[in-house]
Amino acid sequence: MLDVLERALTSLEGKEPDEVPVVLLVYGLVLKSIAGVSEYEYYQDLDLQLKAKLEFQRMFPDVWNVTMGTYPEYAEFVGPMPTAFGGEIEWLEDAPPYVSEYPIKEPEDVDRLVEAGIPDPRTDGIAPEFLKRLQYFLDNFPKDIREKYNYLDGNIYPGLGPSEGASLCMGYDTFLVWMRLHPDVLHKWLDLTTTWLIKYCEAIEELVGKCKILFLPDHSASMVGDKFFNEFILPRLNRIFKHYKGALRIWHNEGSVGHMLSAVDKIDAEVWHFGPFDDSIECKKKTHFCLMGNIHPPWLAKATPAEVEEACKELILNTASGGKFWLSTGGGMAPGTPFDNIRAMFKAVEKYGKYPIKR
Amino acid sequence: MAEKLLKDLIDAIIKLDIEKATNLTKSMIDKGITAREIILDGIMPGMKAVGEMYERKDYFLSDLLFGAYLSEECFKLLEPLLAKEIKKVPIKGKLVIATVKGDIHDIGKKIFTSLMRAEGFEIYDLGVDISAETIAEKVKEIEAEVLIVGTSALLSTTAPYFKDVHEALEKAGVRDKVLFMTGGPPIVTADEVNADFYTNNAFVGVKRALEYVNKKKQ
Ligand code: B12
Repeated sequence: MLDVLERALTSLEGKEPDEVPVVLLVYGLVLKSIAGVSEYEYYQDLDLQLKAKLEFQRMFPDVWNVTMGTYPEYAEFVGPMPTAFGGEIEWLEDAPPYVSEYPIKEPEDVDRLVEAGIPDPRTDGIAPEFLKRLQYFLDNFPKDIREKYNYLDGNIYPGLGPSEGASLCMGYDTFLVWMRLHPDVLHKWLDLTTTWLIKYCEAIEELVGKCKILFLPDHSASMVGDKFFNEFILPRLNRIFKHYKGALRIWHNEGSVGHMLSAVDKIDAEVWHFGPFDDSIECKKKTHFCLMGNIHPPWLAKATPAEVEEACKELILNTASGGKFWLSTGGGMAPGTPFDNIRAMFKAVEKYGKYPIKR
Repeated sequence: MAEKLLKDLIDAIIKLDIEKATNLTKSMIDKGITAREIILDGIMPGMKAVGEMYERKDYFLSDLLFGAYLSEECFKLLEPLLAKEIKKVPIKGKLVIATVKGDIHDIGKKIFTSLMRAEGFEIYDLGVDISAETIAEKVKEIEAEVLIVGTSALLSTTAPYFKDVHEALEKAGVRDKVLFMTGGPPIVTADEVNADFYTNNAFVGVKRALEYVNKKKQ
């Protein structure tokens, strides 16, 4: 019998492992309940985070909580890029923090930032604090679990990707409007955010070692048609992905892109963590990706275990043949998701997910 | 002549041609066409068509938001005129809208808002991470025949907060004077949070708002 990591890697190559791997993203929203604290407390207390992550892994030894789920959480999703460029974030009591002050308001701000040079992730914004926390995780994460699941070492998760990070710095609507209003400015800005992001990845690499897995969330593709995707978004995504050719590269976007699968197929990543609004059969047929998904997280939080089993059965029967499929949610995990529903995912694998898959 | 120019304006908005749309607006002002006409027979139908194209997936979020931006730019040109005109642009009603406390997702809210504006509603967008009390206070302050309260939430932790909004509206004595709509992914039902309506589709929301307007008129 393979372990979950071997299973996932076999499937990635388009081969059939012993059974369908279960790969999830389980983080603060769910883990705070294991820790029994508010989200704010959870983010502030590193030790508590580490314990909650390990406790979850002990409860579910067959889940691969890939990269993002095993990273320290400290505004790591939305914080690093906007604060590096002079923006501010605000902490909320029982929800993750958000960007409260945009560094980019006018086109001139882009020129100002270009002139100022690329911020240093080791000194500017919240990234240095995050890197400190990552070092704490590296010092304290039990070696056996780290090795068994390939956690932390060579894992890179730099928060939101180049286009969505750029949006966070100016507001999503402004970002999208500037595609028509100030395309040249936007190109300049995207070049800068991409360069910064690579520099940030390299700062992370200094701690975790040479990149083996890159986890990059960027949902901006779901907000545009293929013309703007090809012009603004794809080149920046691929600049980063190509920088890490040879590593296992995961593009996370659970927003719908069913309208331009052939465009999305050009993304130079191995895995696409896809969402519940895109049809898994179509996505498998029309793209090269190993698909990770796509049970709807809020639905998973409310469904009965029997319903979850049924939904996973359908998904497995439709998508798992020939490998290139990791059973997951279409996105993260909603707070209040009952652990019994995660168990139901395994039940579905047990009953229907043993290779060869039979309809 | 006015008819042709108005038709061109609708066409420019549909094509998201901001230069043409603003130039047409300016030349219509110069030719003495009223702001009321430009809005009712040009900008609003133009924006409505953009919304329909978005619904059909011919347009995407970037297009819809640019349509809203472009319409806003035309409105700005008309502001000085509007203040002077005796016959005002009729508004169908007022919408107080917010993303609730703890939640900062506002893309869906913006879509709903721009469609409602295109239908002739006056908008009071309170922003994101807004408390039930702030919403209730604003609602109390606003006078309107047709008053709609819209709240948006995308997180499982924040959607139940719609119920707090219902309670704050009740406490402020305005709950039965408004249509209370909620939107976002299907996390809670309208019944669970004592709202009048829930939808995960902005167009369905607009339809419901228009039905409410008609009911109020009767
Ligand atoms: C973009 C996005 C973000 C952006 C938000 C940018 C912004 N300015 O809005 C950023 C990156 C900042 C973000 C942050 C977070 N996000 Co987020 N995000 C998304 C994402 C990818 C898309 C949401 C979206 O805009 N959809 C498109 C719009 C058009 O859809 P919509 O909002 O449903 O709106 C439609 C209708 O519902 C309706 N509507 C909406 N509101 C209203 C109101 C009324 C009155 C009416 C009538 C209609 C209506 O109209 C719209 C058109 O039809 C979703 C995943 C997904 N694909 O859905 C996750 C998602 C919503 N996020 C999620 C999470 C967990 C987070 C974070 C907690 C992540 C983190 N760890 O930091 C933070 C939360 C911060 C906070 N406190 O709120 C989860 C929520 C899980 C849950 N159920 O609780 C999701 C589902 C992703 C996941 N993990 O599965 N996010």
